[in-house]
Amino acid sequence: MAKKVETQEMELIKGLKQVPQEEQYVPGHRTCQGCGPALCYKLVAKAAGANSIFLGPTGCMYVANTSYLCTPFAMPWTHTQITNGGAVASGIEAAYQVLIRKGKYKGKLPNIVVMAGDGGAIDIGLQAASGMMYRGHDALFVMYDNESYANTGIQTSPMTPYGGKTTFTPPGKAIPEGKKTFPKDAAQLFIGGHPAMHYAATASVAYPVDLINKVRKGLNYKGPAFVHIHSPCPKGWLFDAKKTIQVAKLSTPISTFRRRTSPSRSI
Amino acid sequence: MDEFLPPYKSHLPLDPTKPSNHGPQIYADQGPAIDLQRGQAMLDTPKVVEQAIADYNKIMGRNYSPWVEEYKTDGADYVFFLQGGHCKTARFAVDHLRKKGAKVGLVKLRFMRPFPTEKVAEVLSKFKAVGTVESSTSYGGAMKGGNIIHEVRAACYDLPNRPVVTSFMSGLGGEVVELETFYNIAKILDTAAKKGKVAQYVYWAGFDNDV
Repeated sequence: MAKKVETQEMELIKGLKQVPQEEQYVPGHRTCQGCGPALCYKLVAKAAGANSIFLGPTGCMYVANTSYLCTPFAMPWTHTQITNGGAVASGIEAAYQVLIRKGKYKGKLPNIVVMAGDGGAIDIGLQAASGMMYRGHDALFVMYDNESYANTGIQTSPMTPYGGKTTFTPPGKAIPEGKKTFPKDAAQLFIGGHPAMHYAATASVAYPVDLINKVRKGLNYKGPAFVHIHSPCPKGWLFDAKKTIQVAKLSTPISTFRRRTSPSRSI
Repeated sequence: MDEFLPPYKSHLPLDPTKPSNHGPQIYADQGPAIDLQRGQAMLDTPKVVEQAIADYNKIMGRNYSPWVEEYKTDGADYVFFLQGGHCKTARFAVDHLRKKGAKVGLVKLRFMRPFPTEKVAEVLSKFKAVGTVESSTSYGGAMKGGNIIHEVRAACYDLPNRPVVTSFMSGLGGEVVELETFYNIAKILDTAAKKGKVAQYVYWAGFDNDV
């Protein structure tokens, strides 16, 4: 007799006091001072809770967080290649569906969260992410967007805004504006092309309550969901480490982040 | 078959009730120590291989040798040395050539890694010439031919009377190694065994005139 697959219902919060105190992303990593993506990881892990499986496609949050015999992840976590975060998530979700249906795993379906950087989500990892959303796997794809390939030394990515200065797009005499192309619109791209997808949102590390609620909404939907989380990178954007939240706040209403993304929306 | 190979059980699943982390980053200074461990683990694998083959033979009622299998090598002067499915063709070739009086045999290699150095040296010491039939080339290698010839020559290096070894490239990219090819190889090996040296280290079947 096939067992029914039960999913978790994550509660939405109203204020900072309701943010869970349990940490799933604990000290022991080696990210830079004022790291936006690390803050993003911490908040998403709090939102998803203990019954979760996290996937880390290669990126700065893989290289700076895990080192052999040392880990900041208190939840089950696996590395995936930068190309295949979505594919691995699909496999894990399908495996848990079968294990629960056959009664080999007792408990509710874990929250499966892919924590991909902008390269692992919208550039190199786009094919696998698109496949996961197309097939309708019950997983959350989070893109922590620091607008560059920060792991390898701040190279341009499709999320780097027009005029961005990176090591691949240095402003000079020939090209004074630095980066000449406009960034991709990640949320629109995933919404527009994936009929099985029911939830997409954009969030910022400057607004943790909003971020946690959007992550939880995404997890509550039965099917693929996408959350684009803007996460400033002091090292890459060359601002003082203590100003991460300030920069994130300034980015959200006025800057390039707003121009290329639509507000949170469920279809 | 289920008795030999029971259903797979993952010993370290991604399970929220027993959290584990998979695939962390290995830094440059951690690499050599990990490689040393892997190398030492590989040194321990022969015991496991022998046990697994013994279990398989017992359960399935077979008599497979774990490392090298000999076919009609009694009194043979020269042998084909190869791996995998082409051995079936080689056995037909050996049967046919034996009927015609050729002193030929077949030695089948079952494991490239861990390479059974002592076993290969022991078996090949009986022959005058060995022809490795290879389906994968190693561009610019020491013997200009395939990969197995390097291993075989290295394994035979310490023998007092080592056989002459040459390689035959055939069946690359999944092509069939034809019976005719084995007959031609046997002719070359026959000459090599009589002269005690090889004319070429590598012959490309279908491209060299003799093969």
